[in-house]
Amino acid sequence: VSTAALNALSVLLLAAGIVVTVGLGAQVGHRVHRPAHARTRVSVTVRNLGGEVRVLLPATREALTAAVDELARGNIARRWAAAGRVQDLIDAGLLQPIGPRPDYPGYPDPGNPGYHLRLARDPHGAVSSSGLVLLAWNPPTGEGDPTLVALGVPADCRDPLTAAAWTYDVPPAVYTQIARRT
Amino acid sequence: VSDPTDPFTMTPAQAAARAALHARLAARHARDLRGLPADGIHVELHTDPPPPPADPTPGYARADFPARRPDTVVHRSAPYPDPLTDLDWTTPVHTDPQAQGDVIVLAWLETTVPSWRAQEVDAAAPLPDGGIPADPARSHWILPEPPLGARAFWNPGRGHRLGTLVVPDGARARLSHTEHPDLLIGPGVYVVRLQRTIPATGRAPRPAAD
Repeated sequence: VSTAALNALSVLLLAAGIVVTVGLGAQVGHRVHRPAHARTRVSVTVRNLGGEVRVLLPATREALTAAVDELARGNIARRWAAAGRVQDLIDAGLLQPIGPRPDYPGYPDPGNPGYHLRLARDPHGAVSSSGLVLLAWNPPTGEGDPTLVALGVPADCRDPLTAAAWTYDVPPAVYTQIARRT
Repeated sequence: VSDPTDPFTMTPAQAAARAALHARLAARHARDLRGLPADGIHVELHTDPPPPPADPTPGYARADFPARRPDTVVHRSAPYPDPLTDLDWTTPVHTDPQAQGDVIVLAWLETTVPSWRAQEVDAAAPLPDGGIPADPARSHWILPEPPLGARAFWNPGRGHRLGTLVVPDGARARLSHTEHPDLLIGPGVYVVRLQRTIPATGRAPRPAAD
């Protein structure tokens, strides 16, 4: 499989809302001492929010390069997420906001006035092992500093309001009735 | 002669500001002790007036996403009344759901698992004068309010259930934090919970960052 074919496939799948992850084919449970005839393979993981399918492909030079690049991107995503650099993650495409437009401001947070909520995909699991992240964004209106927080939420959250209510373990109808939040 | 690079010597302006701050703190302390507004203390709050709402559709299409960091220093005015300078400011008392950062306070109705509720209420102990930390990070504190009146009760929980708060009639409880304005909680039985998140892959579950 050539890199061009992998790229074309990933572009098609990303357009359909499916995340493609390329990595080296190490599996949980592999023997530490591999036999001499064992071959390194490249695993291509096609992951939707519902589940994932992994395929092992022969490790050509191009595929190995792509796999190493993808692993490096995952490491960078993990490091930036640990440092709280959410904006950098979004700028680099490591967190992919879900929405009609890239400049969609998000859903106004009913439980936290001034904040906006938006869901984002986390293909590397840098913030959330579920692959879904809730972005709480305080737009810079001139008062205070703009804030951008990423919280890991379950993959079955269909909308940002459900995700925000899940973080407090309350139904969305209760979350919208928060009287005061400081 | 004061050296501006010397961090241990205050300039006269710094000393004056420090003295003014201490005077304000003393006035607030005296007001809190007596329950009356302080007299003879005049404090001017120098903040710009809030900008008028130019956009008729708040929320949508007001700014671009993702958020960009401002390239200029924005004047920071307090989004909430400053209790240090606003002497007439009072914290509202609520029995509805309230949240302070990553902590939420939810009313526990009598019809919701009555046996468990009665068990939790019976096991609750009165709040001490100095309050108790509500979360494992010891950043949110639950305080009796007023300090010498009817006393609220607290029963600590486990995990994201921080505990059960019992506020009898005539009492209040105060939830305090150094970075958030206080919450005042009216009479009732409440569940206090911590916000939760799903951690990154390969990490142990942890509470949400405050």
